[in-house]
Amino acid sequence: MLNLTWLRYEVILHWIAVGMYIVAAVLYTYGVFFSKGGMFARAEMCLAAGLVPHSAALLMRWIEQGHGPYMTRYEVLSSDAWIALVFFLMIARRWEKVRAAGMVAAPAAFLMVAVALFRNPAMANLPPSLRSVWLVMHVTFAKLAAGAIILSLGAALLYLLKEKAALRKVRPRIPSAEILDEYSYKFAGFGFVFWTINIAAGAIWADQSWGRYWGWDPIETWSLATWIMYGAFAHLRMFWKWRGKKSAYALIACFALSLFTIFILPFVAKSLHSEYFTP
Amino acid sequence: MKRLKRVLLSRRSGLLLICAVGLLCLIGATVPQRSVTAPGRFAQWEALHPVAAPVAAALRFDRMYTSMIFLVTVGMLSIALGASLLRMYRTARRDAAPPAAPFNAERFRHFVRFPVRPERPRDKLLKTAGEFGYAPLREDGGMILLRKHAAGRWGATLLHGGMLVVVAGALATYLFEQRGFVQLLERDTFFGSGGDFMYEEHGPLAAPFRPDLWVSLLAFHPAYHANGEVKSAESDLLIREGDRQPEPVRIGINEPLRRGGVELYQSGFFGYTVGLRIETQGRAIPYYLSIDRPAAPGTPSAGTGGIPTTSLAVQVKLYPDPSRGTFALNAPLLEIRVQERGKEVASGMLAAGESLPLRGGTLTFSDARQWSGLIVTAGSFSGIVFAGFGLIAAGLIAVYFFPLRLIVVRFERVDDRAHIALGGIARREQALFADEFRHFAESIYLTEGMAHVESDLAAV
Repeated sequence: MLNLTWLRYEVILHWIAVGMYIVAAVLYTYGVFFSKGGMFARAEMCLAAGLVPHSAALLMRWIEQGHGPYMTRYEVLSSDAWIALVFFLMIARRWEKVRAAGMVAAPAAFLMVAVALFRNPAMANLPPSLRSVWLVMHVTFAKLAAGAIILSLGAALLYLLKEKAALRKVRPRIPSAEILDEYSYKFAGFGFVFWTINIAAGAIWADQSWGRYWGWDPIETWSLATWIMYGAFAHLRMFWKWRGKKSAYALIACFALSLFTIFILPFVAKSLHSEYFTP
Repeated sequence: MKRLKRVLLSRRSGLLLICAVGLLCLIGATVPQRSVTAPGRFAQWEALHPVAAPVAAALRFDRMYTSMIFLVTVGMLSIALGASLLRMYRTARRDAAPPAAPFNAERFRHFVRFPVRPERPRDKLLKTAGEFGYAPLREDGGMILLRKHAAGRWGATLLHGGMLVVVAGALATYLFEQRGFVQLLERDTFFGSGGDFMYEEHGPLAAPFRPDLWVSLLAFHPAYHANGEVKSAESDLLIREGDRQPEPVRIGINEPLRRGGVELYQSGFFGYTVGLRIETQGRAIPYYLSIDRPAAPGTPSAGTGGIPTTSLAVQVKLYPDPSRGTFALNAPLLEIRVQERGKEVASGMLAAGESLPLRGGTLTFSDARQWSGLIVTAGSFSGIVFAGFGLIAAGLIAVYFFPLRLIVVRFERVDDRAHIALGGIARREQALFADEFRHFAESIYLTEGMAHVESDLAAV
């Protein structure tokens, strides 16, 4: 089940993408810290250029194994990074003030792909219970949620950076603190929406497969707890007027919980989900 | 009483209850749950945690999701949700057409006024508003109410309503669901009686599960990948529902079947059953031993078992490896070893119908048949839960993607000069709305403004 020729090209393409993402991350950081607005455009070009080999690698794998990149950790991490970047570029095009968040999105993406490249790249068969359109929805929205949450984290970190009086040079290149605060909440909201659809699609798929929409599987439960935490954050923001630093730190805590649920828990807990992402 | 009601229905209590449910879920995810953990693993956890395990058991944290503390917390949260739903509904109704008066800078967080040309620029204003996504909601004398994202005001109501629907559906499922697992042999029939289930469970308000349905397994069709992993599994069934004519159907994984309020799911568990017949000391004992499918390609299906009413134990291996697609059910080979108190008393390789001598009698390999695992359920309110999920998702999309925004425009005369005043209302994303409002005001000013009045715009 391991076509070495395809795999070699795939890994090379992935490394090219990692290289482009590293350059983009450097350009974003330079742009933010040294007030070079033109750097953002160049960084976005690098990201777009990196997405080409990255997409080709994912597409090759999809064709070769006959199913989407959602089975092994290698392909899950790689496709998560891909979706996060596509989502970021779309958002940056729509809301230009978010562009500085690339300083967080680009390193997150290259780290994900790089970690993926150190995992076992063997292809895995799709078990029959995973042949469902609801699984595709479940996985896609989980990845979109991850993308939105990374952006939200980016905006929250930039807010904290902006607030830091010592870093006065940073101020001109990133939007006002109020706008960053608002964007961090907005993207956390997008993540909340995608996370909800992810849970709902997973429940429908589980019902179709096993006649049970909820099984209190550890990852299911942590996922619900993460959802509840975002709900609590939304209430704190709306009714208790949590803004600024409080909101940014709360978002960092929400991000940490999401990170644990998506990326760490499958490694440590015995769960239906971790059994699928085997190698 | 009123005070208690006020405390219970307050937003603070709602937030505390949300956090409490989250915390209980995390405890439930950390402590192994009896209902979803294999008994062996649970016993292992108890042995490894001699202090925590009894505490968890005493607090019922090992049955968290059916424990009183969890159910009461969810119940109280539902009451808080109901109260907030009413509040949200009233707010949404009020936001549908907010009163324009009083019209001044104190009322609107976003407000600007500047002189315009004397003729009323209504059409141009509406065109500019349209470019920003605003549509006129109401025109009243010299005032126009512009609205963007009308659906946004219902978001929170839908979200909270959806959560209540999910909780109601989940509670109904918990109380009334009936569920069982059937291990059905080829050419065998499930008659819906309790003894036919390998396991059966039902909710506190549901009767023991006795579906009015007969299901016969005509044939089972597994398919394997080259490396021996399962590719698909399908069962050809003959279903008789009540007095109706038997109906042949095929079900597969992820393709459930609904008949007479009962749902049948193809499970991923399946294997083989070896039929043996022991004739010894004047007794004939038929014995069926279920064995799993091969663990890896090139290996036989293997299993062990004890023969009832005797002290005999058997170890079997069924050849050839069926994952290679060469398994012919009418000519399987069985490698068998029979032991009595740890000592081998007989062994051999048998084809179907062949026997080997045992304790002065014989042991006959009758046949080998496949078995298919079927999940049978009834009384699930999953449809209601999914409708609730739909409402939650729709509500969240409305809240975060389409936040309600209102702009009130008023034409005024100040010192005999025509003026236009704009007031903006947004419940969320004030900073982003301020940005949009400023751009909107600038657009109006550039097309209709009489002169540069920077101070007016700076006030936005």
